[in-house]
Amino acid sequence: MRKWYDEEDGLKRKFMETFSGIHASEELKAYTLSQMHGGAESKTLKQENGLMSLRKRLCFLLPAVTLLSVVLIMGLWVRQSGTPYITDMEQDEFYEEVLLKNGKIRFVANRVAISITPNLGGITIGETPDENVHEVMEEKETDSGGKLVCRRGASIVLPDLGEKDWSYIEEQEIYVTVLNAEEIRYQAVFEKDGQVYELIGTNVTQREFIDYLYQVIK
Amino acid sequence: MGQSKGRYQVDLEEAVRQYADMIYRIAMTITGNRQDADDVFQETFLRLVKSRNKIQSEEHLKAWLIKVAGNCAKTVVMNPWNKKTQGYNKEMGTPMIFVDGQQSRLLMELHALPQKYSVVLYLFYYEGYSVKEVARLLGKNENSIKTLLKRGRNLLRKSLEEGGDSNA
Repeated sequence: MRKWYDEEDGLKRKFMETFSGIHASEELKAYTLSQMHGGAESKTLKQENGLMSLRKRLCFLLPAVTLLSVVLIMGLWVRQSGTPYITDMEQDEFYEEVLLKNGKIRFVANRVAISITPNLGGITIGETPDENVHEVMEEKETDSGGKLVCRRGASIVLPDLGEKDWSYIEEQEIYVTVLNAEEIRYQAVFEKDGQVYELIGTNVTQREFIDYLYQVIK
Repeated sequence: MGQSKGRYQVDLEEAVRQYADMIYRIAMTITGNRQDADDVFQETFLRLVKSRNKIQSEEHLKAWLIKVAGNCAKTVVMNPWNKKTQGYNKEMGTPMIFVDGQQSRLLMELHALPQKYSVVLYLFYYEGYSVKEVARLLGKNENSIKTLLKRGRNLLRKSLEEGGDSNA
């Protein structure tokens, strides 16, 4: 069956039907004419209504984008210098690049938050010589040539701590400190099942120490 | 529009009155929507203000307006923002174009054609210009217009056929 568009007359008729319904509105004509008489400063309706051309839009957008970028960079910088450093312990990507800043390092990973508070004073296990008796659970050398020791004792004496000084691995509360002495010494103390555990990492890297801590607690 | 001291002068009001609908329809054919057609319409006539001294005759004016409207519409269609949204429309199917509240399949398919075909088809079928006149208006030779008409017609039929349209 032949369709209207197969015949010249059909096409012509359809064009007539379609386009006879399309007109420039009187408002558009009047506005255009008024602008034409306005000369070089004429604006289209869109411009008049504040809708900008792409070029103009870019002129407005560029400073905004620049400003946002600066804010973002500043935000990242502030975050790096003071706020928790988010990482994922199980994915092996963290700590080495984090520097001691303002006396504290804080790692927050999947349910793991490690605050290392340097120079707050040592942690002692037990107050009296009797209580100070401890059992060495494990002692090993690390790849970097440092030494890791895990000891178990009966009680713990800690410096005066605020909530922010505590670290957590899941529900386990831990106190971690670093002594910036000639030999860098990390210490972590935690209480579990009525026992106090102390981990000491001497001349180890942060990563080796926290990996070990994580492994012991888990 | 008139001639004084032997030199053609464009009467702006008369130009708008006489060619408004034609320019608007060409703009609609190419851009496929009223908002962009409005812009093209205004831009075309505003450009006329600046170029009116270059217009040499009534015929020249008509050809000039068609050419400029086509170029303005092309600029709108090629605008990166429009291209993006058209890409989206393509994914969503052929964009809907309404004339007097009714979806116009012919206009949709014309809009989908390359501009060189749609303008020639419009001038030939709606404005009723002969091949020779269209060639003169668009500054092309008659054979090119015949080829454009033939190809444009075939493309239009093909797209209407694919769309399953028999009387839209």
